[in-house]
Amino acid sequence: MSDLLVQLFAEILELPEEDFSDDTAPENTPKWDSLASMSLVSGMEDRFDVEFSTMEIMKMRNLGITRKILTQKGVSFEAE
Amino acid sequence: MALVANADKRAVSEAKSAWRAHQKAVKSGEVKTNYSIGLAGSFTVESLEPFIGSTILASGFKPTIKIAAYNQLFQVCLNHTNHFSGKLDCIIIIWRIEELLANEFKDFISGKPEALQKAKDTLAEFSAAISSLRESFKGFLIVSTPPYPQDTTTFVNWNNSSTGAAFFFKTLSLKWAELLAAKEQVYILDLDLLQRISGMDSIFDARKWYLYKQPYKDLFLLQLGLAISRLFNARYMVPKKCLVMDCDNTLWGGIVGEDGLEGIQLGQGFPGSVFQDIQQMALNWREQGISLALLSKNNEGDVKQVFLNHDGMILKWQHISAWQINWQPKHENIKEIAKDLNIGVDSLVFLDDNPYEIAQMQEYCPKVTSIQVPEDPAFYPAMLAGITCFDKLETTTEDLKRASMMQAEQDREQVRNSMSSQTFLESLDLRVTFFTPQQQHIERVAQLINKTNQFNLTTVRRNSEEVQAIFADTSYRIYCIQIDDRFGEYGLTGVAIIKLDIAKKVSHLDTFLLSCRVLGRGVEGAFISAIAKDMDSLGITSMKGSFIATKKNSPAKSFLPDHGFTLQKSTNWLATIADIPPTPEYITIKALLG
Repeated sequence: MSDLLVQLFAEILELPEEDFSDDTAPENTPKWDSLASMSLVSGMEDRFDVEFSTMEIMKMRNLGITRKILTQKGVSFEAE
Repeated sequence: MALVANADKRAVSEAKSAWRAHQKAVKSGEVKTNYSIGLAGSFTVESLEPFIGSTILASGFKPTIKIAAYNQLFQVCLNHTNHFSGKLDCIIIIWRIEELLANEFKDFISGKPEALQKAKDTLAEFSAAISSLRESFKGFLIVSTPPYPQDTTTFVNWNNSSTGAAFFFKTLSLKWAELLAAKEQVYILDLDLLQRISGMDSIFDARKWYLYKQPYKDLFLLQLGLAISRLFNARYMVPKKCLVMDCDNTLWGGIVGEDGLEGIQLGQGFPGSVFQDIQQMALNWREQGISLALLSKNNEGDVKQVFLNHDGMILKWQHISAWQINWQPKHENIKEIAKDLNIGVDSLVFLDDNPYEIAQMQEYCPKVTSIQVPEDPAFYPAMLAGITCFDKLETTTEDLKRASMMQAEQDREQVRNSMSSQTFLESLDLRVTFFTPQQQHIERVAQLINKTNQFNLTTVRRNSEEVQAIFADTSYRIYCIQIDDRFGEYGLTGVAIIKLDIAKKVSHLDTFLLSCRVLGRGVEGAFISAIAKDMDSLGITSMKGSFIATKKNSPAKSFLPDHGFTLQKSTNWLATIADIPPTPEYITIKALLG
């Protein structure tokens, strides 16, 4: 599974893309701490040109939910 | 507007990826870091790392950044090695009232005026902690000012006499400024000013504040990074020495050769007032030791007439240290200006309104920093104020004297041209004062060590802290010379550092340098002879020296063989103290040894 979102997560968390699935979450990914979470939010806002509400950020408990929130905002992740 | 916003966004993401790429290269061993920064903040400062890192990277450093735990500033100050492991070159401390004085601030704005005194006490303790850090840490220390508080819940009472939050902020800012002013070698990052420049409405990200205790948007963090890199450049880059200015449409509006003295725009009213502001800025730089020069395609008489007779002129003819006013190409003329001032063309900043002249200069003389006057005069002063290449952290009294000394150099040059060199030297009435430096000289000594390129045997660079350490070390001797002649005084212009081995009766000439202002007068002979005399009095019988060739230090090349040293191996030379020749006869030397 690889798309622009996974690429971004892999880049920021410095992990191989194949390590990611929709279940990837802070609980099973030690590098996803609160500082990384802040970088992920900035990174997604920069790359996909969106802005999250604080509640949305709170809800992003794993990669799957995060993808869903972005999709709702009309973002598509197809790798070019 | 959208265009600007996009450019900002791009700058932010470029900074992040540059830093990420650097970190990757460091991890893989591809890049070795050469500069280590410790960062401590009262809020979460991790997000600042890529912005400090990338801008400092762009200045040519290979930094690594270590971050102390959240809001532990006192602990960091009192024991920095606990918080930053390994070698450390710089510590940056950033704090805000909202965290460091959180309780005092809350109490004060909820109607407890006694909290102000408590806050002042905490601040005094923090200041003492900074002083203790300054003592235990030898590197570059940067401390922020407190920015205007973010919380605006009591806006209506914000500036209300002595009970509002603004009063609290202003009182503590002033207190902090007073406390910092009393410290040496603590450099200020004006976080409050940066907030004002960017505007408080546009810098905060409330989401990040509530979720991560990090108050700022990325774009502001980038500005913060740039401000820190400006401090870095001011400390580590060699500052420019001379502003070379065109005249027409650069120092005044219009063209004097066509519009005449009465026709040029200079004085009250736009755009004449702009040019007066520009002249004032040039004059301020001159007062900081930057020389001013004119480079104009004009008749010299026309330009001189403006300087002498136009009552709108802020700059006077005596402020100009060198000039080339003729019809020759500027990229050739500028070399003459450099020669007249005895500095390199890479020390020059060229200001002109004509894009052609700027392009020519960049093409033929790329070492000169060329700056184009903006088309709309209204933006000219702000553009010029933004120039960073004259930045310098300490203005020593030597710098203040430099501009007028450079002019005296020109008078000397005139005399030199009219005489043979021996009679010239004899006519100078050179007086050299030879002395061991006191504490107040150390800053100047460090400055010379860091910027002298030409007459420098070893070009060993050392920062103020390292010089301070040598100053305190009894196995070293530092010697200085100060020079006067009939044209004026050159100030402290020569430094030597000698490592002593009294037991073996040998000494090692670690550093020997002369400022380019005093070259070609034989004062180096007087200097080494005075050192030899002092060595002899210490029972030292020989001196080792070395000459390490660089691109610029050829003026020092023959110094060792000319002064009794013989070549041993590769760059190593040796002299018997008795073989070092005496002071040249035309120099009067006075030794003041402490």
